[in-house]
Amino acid sequence: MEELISVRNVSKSFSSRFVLKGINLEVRKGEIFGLLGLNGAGKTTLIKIILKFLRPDKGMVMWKNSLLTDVVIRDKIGYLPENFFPPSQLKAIELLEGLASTCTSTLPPPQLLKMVGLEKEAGRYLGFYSRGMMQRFGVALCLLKDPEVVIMDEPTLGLDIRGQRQMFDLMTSLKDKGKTIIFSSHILSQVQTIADVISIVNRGRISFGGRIEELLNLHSTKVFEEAFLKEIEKQ
Amino acid sequence: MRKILSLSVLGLKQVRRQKLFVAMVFFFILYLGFCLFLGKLSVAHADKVLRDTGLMGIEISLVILSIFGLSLDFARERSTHTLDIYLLHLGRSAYLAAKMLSYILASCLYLVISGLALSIFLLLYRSFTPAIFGALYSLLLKITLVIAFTSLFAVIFSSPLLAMSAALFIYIGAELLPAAWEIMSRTPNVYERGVIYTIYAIFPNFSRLDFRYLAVWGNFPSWTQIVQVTIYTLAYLVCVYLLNTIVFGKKEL
Repeated sequence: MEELISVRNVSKSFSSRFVLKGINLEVRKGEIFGLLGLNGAGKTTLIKIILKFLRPDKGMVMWKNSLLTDVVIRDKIGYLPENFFPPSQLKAIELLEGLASTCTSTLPPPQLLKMVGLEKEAGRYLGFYSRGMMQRFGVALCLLKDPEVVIMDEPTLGLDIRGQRQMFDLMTSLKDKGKTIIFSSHILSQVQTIADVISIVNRGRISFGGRIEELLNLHSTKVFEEAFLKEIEKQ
Repeated sequence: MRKILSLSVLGLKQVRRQKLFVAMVFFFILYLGFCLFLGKLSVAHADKVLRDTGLMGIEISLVILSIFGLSLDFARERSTHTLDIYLLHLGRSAYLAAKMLSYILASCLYLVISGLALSIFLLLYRSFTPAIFGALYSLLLKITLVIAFTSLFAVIFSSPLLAMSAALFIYIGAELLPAAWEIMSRTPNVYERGVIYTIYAIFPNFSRLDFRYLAVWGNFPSWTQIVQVTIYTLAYLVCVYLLNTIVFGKKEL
């Protein structure tokens, strides 16, 4: 499969405290890539570096083997931030239509809202949305410019069981449509359900990268949680 | 430009629906009652007192709306990650332009509402003069610069409280500096005079922008004055915006 995003030797520190140290990873087209790690491991920092919200101290991020540019980020990457709360004074359709006119190519906003199951709530103020509805709306915003890659930072954070299921179904349907998904999570059961490939971020380093079965074989166990903990404690 | 306009319209809708905007409209209506009281208290020139205090009320409420509204809005967008979404669609310099434009448009809307209310009020008390429209225009120019500075401080400081304080400092400083310069220009100490003059020159020159005093006496500004203050404001706005894009471009989010 074609390599879309590759992170090469990326390091980042905040006031002389290292958050990421020599991170290397590759994300291939059409896969669901799970970024795992404990709280504060550096997952969000890594995502922010990919999106150029943060500058790495060392290393670079590549897009199809050339340097990732602002234009590529604007046209090809959709992003659902952690703890995303859309502006409460706007209606869902207003925000989508407003942002649609900033994109070069877009999916029609009503179609997007239908895709995430919010077509009946299109004219409602976002301030009246539940947490789950906000997250689904965030996915609609992600898909507005019909991106090749969708990055989701803790997409199921704060969602109830039904909300989590809806989010997984959405992610799976996006994969079926040929999208590449990068998501971060620290809830292992979720990752195991949908991720094709995982990378474990631990204390600012990638301690494992590969398929879940490979991790299970590496630690001679059938329980993902156990394998993850062994991997974390290895360092 | 299309991107900037789209986001500005979204921003305008947001500002218009914020409680602060509605609160300022109500504040101004109540303030008109206060103006009436002051007019009654004045022994003479009640018409001028009504015009002066009325225009002053519009300015105070607009300053509150732009400084508090913009600082809190920027901080809210940062904490709710709406900023991340906008930046992914527009880029940083376009986002800043759109944000400033949305507040300038909101200020225009507020000026229309409050200007209309003031005109009706002055008509009722036989104090109306069309010259107040000149004063309202100069108020828009002043507020444009206040918005530019507020957006700069909102970018520089993570805390909205600091951003508000700094923007208020610039506003008050720009209002008071002409008087300070008037006093200090007579001092024999060249160094002190030089320092005050430099600050006076760098700060926005609100005293020259303000046509309120002309409107109080029922006088219109000349076309030359209008063109001069418009050019001055636009040039100043561009300088602050460029500085802001440099700062925001270097900022990690």
